[in-house]
Amino acid sequence: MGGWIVSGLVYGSIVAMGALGCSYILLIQRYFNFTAAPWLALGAYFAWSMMRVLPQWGGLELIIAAIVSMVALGIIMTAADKALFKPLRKRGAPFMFFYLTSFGLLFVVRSIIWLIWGPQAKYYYPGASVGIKGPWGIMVTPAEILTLIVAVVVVAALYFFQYRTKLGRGMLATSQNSMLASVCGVEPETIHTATTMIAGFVTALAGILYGLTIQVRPLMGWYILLGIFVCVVCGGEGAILGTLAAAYLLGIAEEVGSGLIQISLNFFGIPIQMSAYKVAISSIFFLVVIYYKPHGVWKGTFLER
Amino acid sequence: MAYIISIICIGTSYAIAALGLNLQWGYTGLFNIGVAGFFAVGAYTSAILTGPVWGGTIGGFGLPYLVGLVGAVLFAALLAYLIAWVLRLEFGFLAIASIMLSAVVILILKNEMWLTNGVWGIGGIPRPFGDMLSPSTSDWVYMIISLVILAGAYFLLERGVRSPWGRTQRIIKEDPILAEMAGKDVYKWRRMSWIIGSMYMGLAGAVYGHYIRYINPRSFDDVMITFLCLCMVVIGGSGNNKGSILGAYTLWVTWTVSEIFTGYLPEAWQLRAPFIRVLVIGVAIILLLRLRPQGLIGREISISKMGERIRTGRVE
Repeated sequence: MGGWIVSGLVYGSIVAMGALGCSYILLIQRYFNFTAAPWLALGAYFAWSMMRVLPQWGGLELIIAAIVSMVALGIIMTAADKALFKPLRKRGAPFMFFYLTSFGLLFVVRSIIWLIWGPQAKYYYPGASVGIKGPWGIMVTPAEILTLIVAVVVVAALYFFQYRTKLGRGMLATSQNSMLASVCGVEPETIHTATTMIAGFVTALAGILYGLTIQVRPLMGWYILLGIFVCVVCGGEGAILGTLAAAYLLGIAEEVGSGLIQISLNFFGIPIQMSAYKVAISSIFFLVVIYYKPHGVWKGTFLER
Repeated sequence: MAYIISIICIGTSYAIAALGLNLQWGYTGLFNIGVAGFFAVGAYTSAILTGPVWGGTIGGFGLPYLVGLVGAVLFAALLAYLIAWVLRLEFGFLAIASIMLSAVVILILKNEMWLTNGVWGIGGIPRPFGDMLSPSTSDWVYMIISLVILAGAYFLLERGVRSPWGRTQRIIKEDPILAEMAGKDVYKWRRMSWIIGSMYMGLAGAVYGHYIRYINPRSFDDVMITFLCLCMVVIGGSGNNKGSILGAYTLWVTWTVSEIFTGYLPEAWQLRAPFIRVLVIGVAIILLLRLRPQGLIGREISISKMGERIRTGRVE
């Protein structure tokens, strides 16, 4: 039970990073960013290539690779936004065009990743890592502890940025009323650049954490894209604390839910392997959430921020 | 010759799916990215209803071809009905719900051995008049049957979108609030379009399955079905049924014919050829959206015979 909860929290931390990027884009640019899936993989692959170049410095190389990959992905996402989505915004195109462009870009980026790095799975540190045993059947690897810490630190940093700096408040103002915000001296294009840069940072981080705890593979983003969307919808757009809380909830629901259902299925002798149906659990989670609270679960609580 | 027939038959099934997607996307403005799920459900339903027992799955009903088609259509409609209530919400939720539905359907197909034989797939799917004809004649006959089905589907849809029903769908795409003010229950109209479009996708899956005669979950991945269908609709021009059919055949012919050329590539690049094709088509779609958002043909301006006469000044 404890083991399920911890692995749920780790999965939730990874998903939360990806969901924050999506959430920012939904907040400012008003579309669900399907391209988040291959961007996440691209960030992980950047870091992997960087690690091959750098010598082993006992963990420092991972930090350097992560920072380089985050900045690179931020720049690439901003460039893609400026090249593809800015003309659509200028034209005042219907929002369907945003969805369609991001869906087309998904396949473009995915095939680029496939062309450059090939379909094999890759590892940052080859070989199985040693788990640390805890009470209640908890077993964590150092990478998982790192993931848990990084998620909390990033969420704290983003919270500070969002509510204590001028740029962050400008983003909130733009999301609520872009016309009024631009009259008050908030440059809309600066806001869009900042949004995609931050989205790039956290998305690359999500990819790297996924690569550390599981592995780096081309479809890695596709596997957690649905989880990311569930968190975005559940947490509420632009809610930083809410997204993290929703991600923890989702991770625990997937792990504990599939474990408990598996036990009851075994009891009744129904031959279904629940571990294959984790996506189904998050789908049901999503449908239940949007049926009762289509604008986020945390409406009216402090987690809304 | 068998090669050309195969291009036409599979292209026809794609064209039927593209018609359904065109109804949802081009006329009512619903973003369905779970086409693969409906397609797969259609193919598997028809295969199980009409096919023999294959590798321990349920089956062996041996029902006629038409029953298989009807079953595929009804089952796809049922699946669409399951998440139809999401249409009450914002635009993006339907996209996510449909992609989730498709992911769950593919998972079930992969894991439930008793139903679908898992990743090994179902084979031996019969064609109409299966045993009476020689293989090459059967190909010909099946091509004609699938073209007849496409023609029927096209005719029905064309009648639909040129009637007041279709005009209402267009208003809902352009301005749902206006439609609401004109007394239309937007949710009900969207639901109709959603379910009918999904039925077309199920039908397309059945047509595809009976031609290929062997299906497994890998035939229905999101690149091959969802992405291609969406590209077909966009290339042909969303909101134009002829455009969807044209786009479907154009894209499918390009897709298969480019396979011939990959044979001449060096060994190392042959494995990468599928990704290059996806890359090229994706870039083409993005450029098309940017430079020519109306597609190859563009949407039809005329809404009815009377409207066309008024537009061209031939009204007396």
